[in-house]
Amino acid sequence: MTSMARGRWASDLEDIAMEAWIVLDRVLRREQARNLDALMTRIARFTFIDAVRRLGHDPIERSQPIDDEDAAIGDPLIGSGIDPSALEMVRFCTLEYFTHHRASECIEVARHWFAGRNHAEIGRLLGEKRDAIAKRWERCRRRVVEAFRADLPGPLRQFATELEEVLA
Amino acid sequence: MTFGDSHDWVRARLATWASGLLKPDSTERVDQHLAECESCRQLAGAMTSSDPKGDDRGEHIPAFGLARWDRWSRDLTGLSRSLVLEHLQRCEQCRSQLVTLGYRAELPLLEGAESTHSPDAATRAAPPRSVPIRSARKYAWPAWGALAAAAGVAIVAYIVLHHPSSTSVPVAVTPSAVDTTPPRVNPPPAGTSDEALLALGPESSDAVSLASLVRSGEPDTTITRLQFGPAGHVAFQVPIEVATLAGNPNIDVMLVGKGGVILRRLSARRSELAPRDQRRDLLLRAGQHPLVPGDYAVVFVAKGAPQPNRFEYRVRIETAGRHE
Repeated sequence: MTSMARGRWASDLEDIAMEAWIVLDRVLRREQARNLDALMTRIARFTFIDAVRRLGHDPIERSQPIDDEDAAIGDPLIGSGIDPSALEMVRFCTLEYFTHHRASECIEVARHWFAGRNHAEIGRLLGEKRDAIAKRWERCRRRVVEAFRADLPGPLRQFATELEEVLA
Repeated sequence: MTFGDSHDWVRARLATWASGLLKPDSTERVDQHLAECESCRQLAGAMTSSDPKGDDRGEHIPAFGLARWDRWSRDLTGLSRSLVLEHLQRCEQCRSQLVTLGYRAELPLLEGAESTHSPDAATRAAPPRSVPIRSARKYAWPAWGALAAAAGVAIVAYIVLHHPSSTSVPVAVTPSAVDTTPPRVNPPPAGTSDEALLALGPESSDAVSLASLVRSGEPDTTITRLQFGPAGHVAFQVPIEVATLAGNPNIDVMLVGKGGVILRRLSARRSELAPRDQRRDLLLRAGQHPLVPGDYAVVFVAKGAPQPNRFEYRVRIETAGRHE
């Protein structure tokens, strides 16, 4: 991380290192690492890039002391104004909301959604038709969207623009 | 709608789209746009690309929140606050990670921050008032616990990344050894520290403060309580009295049980325990000789150093360590 930062974001590096440790801990609880060094390197890189995305900085423009093309962090989200932590938070809130209401039928589909699977793929995995999954998810989606709509403008305000459309 | 509007419209909805929470017609509209627009497709791909978080996505409190708990938790309001609180009460993993980072696994009670639309107001108890034990920025940051766990030794001194650029390597360690030599009881050196340690990192839930020296004439003074956590070991930071010893003496670190039995021993140079004045964490593993609840002493003896050269800290283990 230090080598990627090249002296930038010094005040944030400790937070980012902690975040990387959390991710590593979660991964290791889930599965055994075949190559711990490689895993740590990968996590460090992803976490660092995620953090830079959140910081919303263009690392090159901010890096006055650095005159080095290698310092560039090739990532389309950096500088795009899109905060990927919004995605993480909305996923957490969605799953947690379903968990609270013991909506196992929704949790099941949500997890597949978050893993990037579409209705058809989820249907195949769950042994159901695509349309059945789509209908089930639509019911679930409405539930959680209703809850978000009734909420105070908290951290979910990050998604306000999106939710306006969702709720329209 | 202009082309630019279309980009903005899609990009503003990518998180919701990626979570499947957009209305079906909006989802279709995003899908269509992504099929035609390379730049937006790249953004969507970056947002949803496979990363090490893998299947844990959304399953736990976001890592960026836990890492900045003292600040992030205070910004939580409304439903998201309620959901975080509820998850924290249920999820041992998130709690232990918070403790590892040195925070209390609690949400501070903030006036006006509680949701009026909680998922189930009747079942929610007000969280206790709490403050972080300390700022995570203030203390050292140890290296990965997995590496320490892999070391497989009785006492491990492992990397403390007080500065992220640290290139320290673990201190050489010696396996657990049983020695029946009773330790001498020397008068303690003057000066104590009330610093509330401790180790950061994966072992810190098992960490213990060696902040106070045992005072002469008060042999029963208990200064610290140890709890063996799931990892089955305890971590503590090299005390400042030892870290600041002049020269580079060889130092014996011993865990001493009843009757003066030395249960664990580590020998290292001062420079290994505190390289460049940055105190490392020592990891005391349960090892082959599991420690039973009771009173112990952690003793540092500096060989060839000018007085004071012996530092003794009394600790109490309250739960048994796990066999490994």
